[in-house]
Amino acid sequence: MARQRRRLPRSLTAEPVRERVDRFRATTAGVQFFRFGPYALLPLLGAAAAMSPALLSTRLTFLLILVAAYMMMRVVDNIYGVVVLAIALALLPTAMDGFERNIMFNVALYTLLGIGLNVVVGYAGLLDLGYVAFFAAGAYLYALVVAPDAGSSEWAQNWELGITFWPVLPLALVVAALIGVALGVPVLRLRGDYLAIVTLGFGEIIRIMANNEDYYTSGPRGLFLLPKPPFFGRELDTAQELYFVVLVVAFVAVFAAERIRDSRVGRAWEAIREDEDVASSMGIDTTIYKLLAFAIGAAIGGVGGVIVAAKQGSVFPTDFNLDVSINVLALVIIGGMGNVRGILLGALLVVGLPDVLRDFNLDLGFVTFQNVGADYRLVIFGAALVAVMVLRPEGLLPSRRRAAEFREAELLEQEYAT
Amino acid sequence: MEQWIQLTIDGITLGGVYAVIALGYTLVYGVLRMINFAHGELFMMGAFGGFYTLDAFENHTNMNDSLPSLTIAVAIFAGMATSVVLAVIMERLAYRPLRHAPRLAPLISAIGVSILLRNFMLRWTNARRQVFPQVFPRGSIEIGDINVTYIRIFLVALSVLFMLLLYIFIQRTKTGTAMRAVAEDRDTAALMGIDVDRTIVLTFVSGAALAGAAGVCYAMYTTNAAAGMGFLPGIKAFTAAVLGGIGSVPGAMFGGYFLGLSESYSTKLIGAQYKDVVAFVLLVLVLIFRPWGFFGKREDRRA
Repeated sequence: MARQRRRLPRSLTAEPVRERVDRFRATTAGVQFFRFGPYALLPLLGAAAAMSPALLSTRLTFLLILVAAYMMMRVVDNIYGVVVLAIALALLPTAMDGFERNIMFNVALYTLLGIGLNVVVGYAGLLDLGYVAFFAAGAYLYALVVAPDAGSSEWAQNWELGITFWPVLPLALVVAALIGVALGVPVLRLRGDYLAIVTLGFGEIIRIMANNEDYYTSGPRGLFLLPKPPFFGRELDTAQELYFVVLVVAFVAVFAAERIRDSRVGRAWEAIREDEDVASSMGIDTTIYKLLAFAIGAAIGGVGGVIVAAKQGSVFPTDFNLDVSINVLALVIIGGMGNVRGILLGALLVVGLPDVLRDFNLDLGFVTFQNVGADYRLVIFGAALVAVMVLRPEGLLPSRRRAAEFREAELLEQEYAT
Repeated sequence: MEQWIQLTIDGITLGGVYAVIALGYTLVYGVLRMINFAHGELFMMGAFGGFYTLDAFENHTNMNDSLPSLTIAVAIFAGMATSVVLAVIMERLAYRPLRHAPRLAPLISAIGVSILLRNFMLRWTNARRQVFPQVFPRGSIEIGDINVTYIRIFLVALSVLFMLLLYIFIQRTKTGTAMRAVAEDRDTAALMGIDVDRTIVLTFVSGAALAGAAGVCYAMYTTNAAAGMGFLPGIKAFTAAVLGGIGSVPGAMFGGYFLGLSESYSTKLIGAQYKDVVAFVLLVLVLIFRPWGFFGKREDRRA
């Protein structure tokens, strides 16, 4: 058995570059550069978006936007940055075609879901692999209470509640939160990997139930012909309009999530995440705070479900397979746990990029992979999850706190081991 | 009555498969305190290893007809080899660098490996089920109204054989003793001169070999192999391992049979469409009321 090759710690080899950057950052010019530099990218972003149909291929535009967004998010962490980002995101789809608008809708939707899951995984440190359950709950809730004449289940036709989109949003918030608590109670005592696999089980149970049940969900036939959200006498039916809906909801969710994170609740989560036993011995009621994390995460997922049901106009059990949970988890982890900017980046990478590369063919000479984005996206995710964990376990854009935790644990263990 | 006996036979067949896969979870958990999420995928890859071997025999020779016992044996070995090679690679690339990382990291890495393998095979096979060549002799023994196919008997016998071999390996050999020592206390084992890295690799290897063999046999039993075939058996075997007490070898065997039988009876009692829910419900119940399982040691902290 060959001995493991001794390698220099990464921090040693990486030091010079990082040092040089730090020295530059400390100078007056450096401060100015890092504060205002990112905004210089904004015209680039706008120009790329505006010129995309004329000059560049749409795919290239998306990549440019991605790079610009990453660079911006890397350094901008104040309220102005968020406002600028919001404006940029709102203007983007106006320069896009239908296909790209759909991508942007999905990116925004998954950002919303990511913010929800991040509350559970990133803030409270509870690994939830069944997030799709809440997403499904929201979608089915919408499908049941809007009750179209055709394409709905027996229950929906018996009751014909006929509620419209907007009241369903707060309703979904409450219902999904209750489901989150209901699923959270039995798993309170579980930690880490056990929690992961049980929540995965819950996600699957919900899907199997939806598939086998008929009175409420009409089984595999699904519920369809659902109405679009009404808006001052007309209906919001394009991807772009619904993109704005998600964007607004997502910004509210970001605002709420960040406020909660910085509150007493957020600090309690942080303590639980770092060491549950210590947290509870310091007088933190871990039960309440864990349930709260489940409830808030679930509520956001439920709202996402409502919006996607309204956009698709249909709900089928197959929409809620494990892939949804995996996608959301992947984007939270790849982007960087505990950080909203990281989640947006993660959504662009995990949801946006594969769609953009949908018909991209990779020719390696001896073998050609066709339609890399469409067919191999999950293969690439798998590899990316491993790579991120091995190379940069805190994700691409982690919160500072989270990065420190990951590094600290690693260092402590190494010290302990030697 | 006949129906119940038939269900029992079904349950034992299925339970044997779950038990053999569950052993892999239990072994790896024992030494690394980590759930190898990709274990179900090793089972699947093993099945494909066996499939391509049998397929090659079918297309290039007539040995599947003249010497079926040999080709089946070769296919099972090929399946084991496939899983073992993959397990060694995955341990080296995805798990070893994370041995000192926070607990979440190897878990997510394992999920990544699982997604990678499953979807790679999905693309490789163009999402089609691969139908196994009919090598195993058809036919069955009939006792009264009860009907037991040969392949079932084979499956049950083989799973028992593998479990016995593993048990002897762990209890009687020097390597097995080293594995138990590492499971007990890694640092002390290292101080006693045990090569921990090597032992961990060997643990993965023995788990993977069992999963690969189980994959080939299970795929022969269901007559096809598909990229998604590892997911549910993987989860169920995990449930079986937890039922018996994860980390405990006899526990995994017990859990496998227990789960196989419960699932089989539930098709009659609850309905076949909820068969897959049974495992999850059992898992949740066990984790809530008896998280250390039936045979596991009670620890104050789990996972």
